[in-house]
Amino acid sequence: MMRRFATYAVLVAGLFPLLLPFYWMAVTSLKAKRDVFTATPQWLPLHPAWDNYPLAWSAEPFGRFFFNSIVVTTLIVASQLVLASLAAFALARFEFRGRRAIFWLVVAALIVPVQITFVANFMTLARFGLLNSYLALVAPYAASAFGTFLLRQAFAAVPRQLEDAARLDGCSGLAFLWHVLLPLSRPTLIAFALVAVVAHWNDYFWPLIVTNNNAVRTLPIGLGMFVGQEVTTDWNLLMAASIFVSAPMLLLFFLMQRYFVRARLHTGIRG
Amino acid sequence: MIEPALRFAGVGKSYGEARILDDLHLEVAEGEFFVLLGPSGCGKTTLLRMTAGLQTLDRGEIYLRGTALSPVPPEGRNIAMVFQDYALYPHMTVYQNMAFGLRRHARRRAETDAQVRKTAALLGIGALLERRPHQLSGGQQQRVALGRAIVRDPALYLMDEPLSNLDAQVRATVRTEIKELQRRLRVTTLYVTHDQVEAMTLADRMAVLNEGRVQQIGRPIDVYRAPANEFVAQFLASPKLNVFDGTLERAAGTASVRTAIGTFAFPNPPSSLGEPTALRVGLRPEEIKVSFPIDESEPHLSVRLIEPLGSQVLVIAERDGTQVTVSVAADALPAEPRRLRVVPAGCAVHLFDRGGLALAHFISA
Ligand SMILES: Nc1ncnc2c1ncn2[C@@H]1O[C@H](COP(=O)(O)OP(=O)(O)O)[C@@H](O)[C@H]1O
Ligand SMILES: [Mg+2]
Repeated sequence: MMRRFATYAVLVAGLFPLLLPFYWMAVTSLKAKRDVFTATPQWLPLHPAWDNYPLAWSAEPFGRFFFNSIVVTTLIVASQLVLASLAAFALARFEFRGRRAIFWLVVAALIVPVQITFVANFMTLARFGLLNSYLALVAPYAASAFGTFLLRQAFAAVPRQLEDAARLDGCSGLAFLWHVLLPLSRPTLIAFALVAVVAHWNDYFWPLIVTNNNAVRTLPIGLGMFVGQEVTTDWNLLMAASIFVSAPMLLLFFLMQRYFVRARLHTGIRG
Repeated sequence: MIEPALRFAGVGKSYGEARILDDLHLEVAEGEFFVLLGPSGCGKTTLLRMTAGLQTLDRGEIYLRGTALSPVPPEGRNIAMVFQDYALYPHMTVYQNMAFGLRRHARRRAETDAQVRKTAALLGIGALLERRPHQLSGGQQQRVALGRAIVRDPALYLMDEPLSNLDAQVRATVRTEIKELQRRLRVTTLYVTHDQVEAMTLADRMAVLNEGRVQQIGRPIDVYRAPANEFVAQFLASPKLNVFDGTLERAAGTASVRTAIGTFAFPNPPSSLGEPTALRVGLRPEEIKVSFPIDESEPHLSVRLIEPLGSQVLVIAERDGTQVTVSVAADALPAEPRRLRVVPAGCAVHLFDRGGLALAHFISA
């Protein structure tokens, strides 16, 4: 009983510094511009300025940015899931020459920082005249070494007898991947998809490099434009924009967290 | 000649240098329950996987109802297999597990449904159809695995040690169920196991396999009574075969076998036996007649250990470094026996040559 209490106390104490920035962001997004910087911190928005939200939304073409972010993130994650599943299937369940070498290449790719590829990718896209396109935003991330690695491990853990049984049931090759391997790897798939969605939704650097046109810019770029262009930054508007940019990710986490707990129970305890 | 349901013709398989199976010939009749008995690692699973088409043969051919199987892919062979670890799909319900193969073979939904429910009722798992495998006991999982095989109504069942993961109680129950089921359905069955009790109880006929070769084929009772070699005799003995060096002594029309634990009269030695001088003599614990003398002057062995097994008791006795294990009825055992005498008449004696090949089997006079 005491131990439980102590555990919760530590967790709550740890939560505090994590939540504080979010709270401050929310409060600031509702302040008037002159109330943003005050001698004594204002912890409550005494006169909530709801206007900040429509103002921020229309300060830049955020509708367009939202659409772009959704399209780009969806394309990237969908492509990563498909390609990682297929590559992991080959690496985990087929015998062929060079299999080990390819697997180690995948592992090696995990270690290389993505920034190293930027120059080469930029030059390639520029040469083909593909800058400022969805393709430029999606193509470099279409495959994921991390996803391939995770799924390979999950697929390799499925016993051979299950594959044998499936073959006798008339289910081999891609049908086996679809009907057996993928459903059995659902927790891994979801965990990876979640991480990938968040990473690419928030990605700033690469979209900054390959876009200079509002037609294809994504949300993080939109936020960046707030800070850069004017002499004084409207922090209250920036915070309001940050709220609606991060809201989908927060929502996703809330929804998936419940799923995560269920998945863990399903595979871990009664397995 | 009638073509047998299943025929192995010179089947061989190697992994690198290791010959797993070597020139294997077997015939299984239509509707027969055939058990392949062998120690673990002798190639039983390999043989079943080759029959199912999950693995290629290096040599020979397998025929199902006269059709060579090599060119036929696994899903076209009309063979169902029950796996050692059940191999149920963890993410599917019992119903889906059983229906999956039928649906993949493009059966109609209504037909599949009727088939699954009929089979489930047959196996007494009708109430479990909506459960998932992890919500079932071992015995129930095994019934579902059987159901998945039966529901397809195949020409042949392959069973790979289906009882080895069950605890003793459930194992005996499911064993009986499998036997009854096979009797009822009359589907040709090839069942492999390393457990001689399963082989003896289940098989119409059996084959003993060792080091990639068939040691003996026959009805269980015949194999038990007349093992073809020392390995088979040893494998069908529980807990172990007593083996002694012995000599054959002939005298006008009769003969006797002399060993360290006694001399056994051999009533009608076949002339084919010849005049072997050095023999190996095998006696199973349950086939040795013994008494427990009080009198110290009678020749006897000293009792070393007693292991009660319930109705039977194992007695281990020794004299001058020679040990013998016998199995006696519990109620025939005196309290605290100290001496054990081997009664030379009425023992089942198995004679092998130096190389372990069986020469003769007889009941001593
Ligand atoms: N894929 C494989 N590669 C190499 N050796 C194998 C392979 N599969 C089985 N073996 C070997 O073949 C022998 C027979 O295996 P198996 O058929 O599983 O025996 P059993 O089922 O009788 O226990 C074993 O010695 C095993 O190590
Ligand atoms: Mg095996």
